[in-house]
Amino acid sequence: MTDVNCLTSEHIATATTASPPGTPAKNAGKDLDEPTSPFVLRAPPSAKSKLILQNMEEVLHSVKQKHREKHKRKREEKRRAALLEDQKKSSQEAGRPEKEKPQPLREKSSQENGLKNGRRRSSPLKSSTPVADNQSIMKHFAKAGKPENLAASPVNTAKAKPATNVFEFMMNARNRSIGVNEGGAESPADPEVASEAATPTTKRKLLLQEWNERKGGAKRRLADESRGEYIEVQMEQRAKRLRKMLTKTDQKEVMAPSSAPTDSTVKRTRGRPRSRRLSSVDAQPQVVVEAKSQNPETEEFLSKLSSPTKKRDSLLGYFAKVESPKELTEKVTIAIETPPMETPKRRTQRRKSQAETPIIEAEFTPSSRPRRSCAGKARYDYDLETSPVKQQKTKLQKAEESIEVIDLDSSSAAATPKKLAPLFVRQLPKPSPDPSVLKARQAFLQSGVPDKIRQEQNRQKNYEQMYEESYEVFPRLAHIGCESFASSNEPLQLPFALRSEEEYVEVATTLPFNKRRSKTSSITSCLPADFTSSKSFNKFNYATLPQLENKRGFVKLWKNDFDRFPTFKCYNQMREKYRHFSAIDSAQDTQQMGESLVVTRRTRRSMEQNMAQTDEEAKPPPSAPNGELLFTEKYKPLLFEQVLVNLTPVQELKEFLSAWSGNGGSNRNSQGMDDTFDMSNDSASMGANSNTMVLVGPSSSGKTNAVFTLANDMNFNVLEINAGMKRTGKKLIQELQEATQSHQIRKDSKTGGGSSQQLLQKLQKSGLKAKAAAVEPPSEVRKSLILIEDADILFDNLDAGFTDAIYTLAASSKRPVIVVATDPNCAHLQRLMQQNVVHFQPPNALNISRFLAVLSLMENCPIELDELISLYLYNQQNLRKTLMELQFYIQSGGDPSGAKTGGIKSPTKSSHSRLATVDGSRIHQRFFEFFTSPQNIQHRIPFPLDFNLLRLNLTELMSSSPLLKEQAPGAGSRNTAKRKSRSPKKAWLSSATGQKNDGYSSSLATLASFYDNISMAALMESDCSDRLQWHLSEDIAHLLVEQALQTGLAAKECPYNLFDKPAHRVTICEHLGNGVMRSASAKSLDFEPTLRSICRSEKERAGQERKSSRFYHYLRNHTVNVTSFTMEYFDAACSSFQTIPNSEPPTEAEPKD
Amino acid sequence: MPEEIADDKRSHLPWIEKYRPAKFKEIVGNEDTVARLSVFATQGNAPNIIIAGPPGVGKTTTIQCLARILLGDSYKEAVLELNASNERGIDVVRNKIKMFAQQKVTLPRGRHKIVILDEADSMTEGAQQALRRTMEIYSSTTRFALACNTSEKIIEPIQSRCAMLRFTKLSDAQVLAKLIEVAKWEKLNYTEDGLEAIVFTAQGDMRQGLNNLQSTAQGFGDINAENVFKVCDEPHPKLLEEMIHHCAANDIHKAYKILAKLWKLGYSPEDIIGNIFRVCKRINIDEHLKLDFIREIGITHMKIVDGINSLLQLTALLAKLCIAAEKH
Repeated sequence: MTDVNCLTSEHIATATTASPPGTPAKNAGKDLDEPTSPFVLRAPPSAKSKLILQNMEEVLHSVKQKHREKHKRKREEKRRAALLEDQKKSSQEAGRPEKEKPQPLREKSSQENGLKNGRRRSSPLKSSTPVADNQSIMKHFAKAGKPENLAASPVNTAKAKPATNVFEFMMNARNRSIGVNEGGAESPADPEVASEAATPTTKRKLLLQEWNERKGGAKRRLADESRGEYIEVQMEQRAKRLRKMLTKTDQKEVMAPSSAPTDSTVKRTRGRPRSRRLSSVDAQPQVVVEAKSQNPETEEFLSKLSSPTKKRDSLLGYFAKVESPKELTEKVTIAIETPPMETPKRRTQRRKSQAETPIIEAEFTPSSRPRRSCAGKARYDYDLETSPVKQQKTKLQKAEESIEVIDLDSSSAAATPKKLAPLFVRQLPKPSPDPSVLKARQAFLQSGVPDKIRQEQNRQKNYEQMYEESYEVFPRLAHIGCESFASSNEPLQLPFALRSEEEYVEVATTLPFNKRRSKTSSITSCLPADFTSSKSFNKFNYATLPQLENKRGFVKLWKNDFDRFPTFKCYNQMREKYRHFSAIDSAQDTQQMGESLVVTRRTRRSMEQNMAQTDEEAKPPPSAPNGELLFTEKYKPLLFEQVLVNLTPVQELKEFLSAWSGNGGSNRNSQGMDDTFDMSNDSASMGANSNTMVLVGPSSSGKTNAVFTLANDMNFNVLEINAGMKRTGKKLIQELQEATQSHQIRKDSKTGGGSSQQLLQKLQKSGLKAKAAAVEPPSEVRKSLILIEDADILFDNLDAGFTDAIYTLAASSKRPVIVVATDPNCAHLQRLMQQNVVHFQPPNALNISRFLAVLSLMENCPIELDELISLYLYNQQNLRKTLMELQFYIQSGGDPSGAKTGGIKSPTKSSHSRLATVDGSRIHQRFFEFFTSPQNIQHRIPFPLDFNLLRLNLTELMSSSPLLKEQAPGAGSRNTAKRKSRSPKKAWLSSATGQKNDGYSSSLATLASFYDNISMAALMESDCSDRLQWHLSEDIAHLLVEQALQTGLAAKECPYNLFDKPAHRVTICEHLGNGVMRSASAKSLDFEPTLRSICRSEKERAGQERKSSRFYHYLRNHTVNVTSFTMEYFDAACSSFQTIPNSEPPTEAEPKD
Repeated sequence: MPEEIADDKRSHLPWIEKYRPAKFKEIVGNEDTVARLSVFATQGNAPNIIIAGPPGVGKTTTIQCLARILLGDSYKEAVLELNASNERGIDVVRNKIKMFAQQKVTLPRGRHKIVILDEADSMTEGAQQALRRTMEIYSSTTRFALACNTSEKIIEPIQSRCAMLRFTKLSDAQVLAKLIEVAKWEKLNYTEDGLEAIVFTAQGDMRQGLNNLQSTAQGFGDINAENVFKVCDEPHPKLLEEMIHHCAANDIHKAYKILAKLWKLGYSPEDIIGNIFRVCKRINIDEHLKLDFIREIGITHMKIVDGINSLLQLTALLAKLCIAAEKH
């Protein structure tokens, strides 16, 4: 009780005179003696705690029942209004004498007053609530004297407790919103205090009245008065009712009935949801009394705020602030803080907030501020700090005393009943004003503030920032739970006995570590012999192959086998070339460089005739036994007649070009003819875009070669644009402008670098000069042709405008434009492709194998047909690659070992018999083996396990498995027949049911375990998508499959088919990468349909617009393999929806010669 | 290479550099291919090649050998070597490589300039696309030699212009032979089990093997199993071998002792399972049982890779192995 008094007096002192700031600290020091001091620590006014409070507040809000609250509030308002009316009268009488004193400041302060309340709520700093709470608690303790008793013996029923709890929160929150400092002021012991406190409030009340009248509220007041009377009557009735109830329930509560009506009014004006129906009646009035008792304090505080001393007070606050930074730092460092340090800080903060309030005040109208927002914030504290039971008890004791004070004070708050209406109606806190606006206001108002103070403020701000920055969100040391964890380390009590870990370790360390190895190592595959013999690897001895003497004999022999293949023609051509290049080589040795010769039909004829007489063998020069050209260059066709495979598309292309070159001969020389031709061409039936042709086909199907061959044959100059050049649209147009617009190009006009074609021609020319006479004059006029290579490849950032340039060229060129692309679904070429397209396809395997056989014969190294076919198929019908590998093989010496022993037989067992050999020579083998089989380690299955291949091979593997044959039940013959069919399981399935009991004798069990292993391997294999890393799982999977094949099936002899790859099925998922979405089902549900639809729409759009790769950019982000994202996968996937119009199979070359 | 050991500078080199083969004869492994390449080194006119294979099998060495022998003195001006540390974007391909290809270098007949693209699988697809026609156009003067780990990362058109040579891991005997050779050159004290331990840790990777050998030699001097496993800290294969034998004998207690010890020593489960697999690959038990073992190991490995890498999983593996042995 003592400290309560002290506090109140102090407050009054601050209201009238500026009290020294040291007093609150003193009070707090008293608090320290109390057992509840930890509470002070618990609610530091930091931003964090505020957040927590807000969260709690939300929870509590949800708890309360709003509908009831609203319902009640309406009634309460009325009642309250009436009450206030009465009080107003009394207070007017009491407050008149004091009214004059604060007159000069009145107008301003009254305006500020209400604002201050509102402002304080939203001010960023915590208001003084903790202190107030603390004080109120202290007071309760002081009055109750024996809190432990109260806690031990709850007065109320258990049922009432929760209800009162809620109510108390609300009440307390309300008090806080008003700005109560402590709750002990209701004490009737010093009535002077009360009267003194009343003076400012009456002042304010008057002001409000004045205001009201100014607004023409006389009529309203009349209405209010009448309403008030009505309400009074109602209140009376209500009071009676309450009294009745109270007397009924408890004897103790009888003391308080008189307060009941007023209590309820106060309570309801705040609009707090009350669980009145839920709570027992006896609990309610007590709490109400308590809430009431704090009312005077609120009024006091308000008055203090509006008092003239406020300014000075706030200035004092500034001074006090100087020490606050220290405290802040202390707070960071010291975990447990002493309350005396804490309290002054809060005080200063509160003062600061006071000081800040005037900045924003000017804008607000009084009483428009709802008081709930802050109330809500404070509630949480209250919940924790006070037990409702205690409070009730204390309130009970002083319930009667407080009544009078209430009547006095509460009137001031409601001086203008009309104005109060919005206060009650509005529920939501006013949204805090725009920060920028606030800032502007602050700047304006601060302009008057002395520099010193501003500096202080800045410093304060800095400290605060520092504090917030240095504050750890997650404390480094979390002591909670550590102890319990440590203590829980005790050994588990198990119903059965386990050996302890230590025992294991002890025993394990005694393991014999370095015992001498017996005879063979088991951890590596090294044999003991390896340690002794340093080098035992047999090195192959390769040398260049000797010249074959009787090639023609070979060809004659083979001729019968190669039906429908122009063997002799092929042979002759090749022989010619072979000899030719040999001749060149030897010619170049003597530094004879021919120039300006063109290989045309005519020259070729003459050359042929000359060549026919020369002797068969032209030895390559000794300096370069391998020549210096790639096979791909050496044996490529130079004339249309030399084209042996893939004839149809070349024919089409020829027709297209022959339209441009007129009669196709090289003897046309007049410019005029050219012009007329072009004009006639333009006027002819061909469309505007007939000058372009698109060649589409997989790589190495001969697209580019066809163009060069025809260009050579039909005397065109080729202007080549490829991906290896800078080909922005601008540059392209610049370079080709002249070529496209003029009708002739000088032969020596700049083409894209030294093309190999020209080089080859040069070589050929020189060779021809050595042999035969030149026919054509060098000044011959040649037409030009524009070849755009790799048109489907588009580098977004480097080739800006490339597509546009192509279209421009196609539209404006007077020369034939040939566009080469690999991708038939290339989006940006769709418009061109709709017009003239030639589809190329990889050449037929049979034909090509014969071609290759003759070629290898030409190179003195006849190779088995099977091998050639196998490799060609293994390379996925890539002729160029096969040629490269053939060159590698042949020029490095072919098969060195005596070839007659059949090593690994090619599994394409084939109808092809062995090629006949002329005696004395041999057929080389192991060609296919060299490029496919691993060399160091014995694998049967190639290392990156391909389950598609495995699936293909399974049939053969199973049919050759001796283990399965042994176990085959029933009649052997029937089953072997069945086993050869694709699904041999069925036969066993029926039979195996009988002998299932023995795991290893049943063939079904064998098969089942085999499949089990295989599927497990597939699962492991599918785990790793990125093959750049070494993957153990891949290794495991591989070994598992191999082991399963060996032991599970015991299929040791069966060859493993390598090249017979099925048509690759493209799924979008394959190319999306596993990292993005792990589960396949999610992929197929999520990704695929979306991507498919995107692709479709993109393709549709590409037909109409030019730039069309917009959405693919988005897709790029979804792929793991960022660098290699192209549309080709999606297009390939899309192509399954389309049927490529080119259905003609590649023709089987020309009829025999 | 070993001729000038006396040179002081060379003694500080890492052994992988010091003993990097300069002749085809010295290259270990993949003999067939290497021998064929040696023919090209003398005869000239080598086609474009791609060498694909795991690390440490001598891809780069082979290519450099070829270029050195093929070009001899003009190696400097006639070879353009670009590896992943060089920039190899589209611009570089369009400018630098093309410029190089257009340069005139006087070479003997049948010899060509060589562009070496090491680690070609790390080239961007755009750069590869820009390269494709360049390879063809300048083929009369310039050849390309590419080295990569996986051929899948090389785009199809580039593959189509090259002969693909696949290198595989070296066999243990091959690695061992080279190690013995080096140990003799370095005059090391070695025991058989020490070298074998190095071979085990190398896993067919010559570079790793030589590095381990050098580390052991410089750290401890003597090459024996104990020292080797001190340097390359792995779960000891002998222990694991014994553990698997215990499992095969259906004695989980003894097996668990070993596992618990390894776990206490702090090996990661990935290491443990990896070595279990490699030991199990060679272990001398019934083939069917081994198959079952490998399957169980694979399953556990999958779990560990997924992140369930507790001792419990490994213990479960032991239990499963024992069950498999019991059924057998």
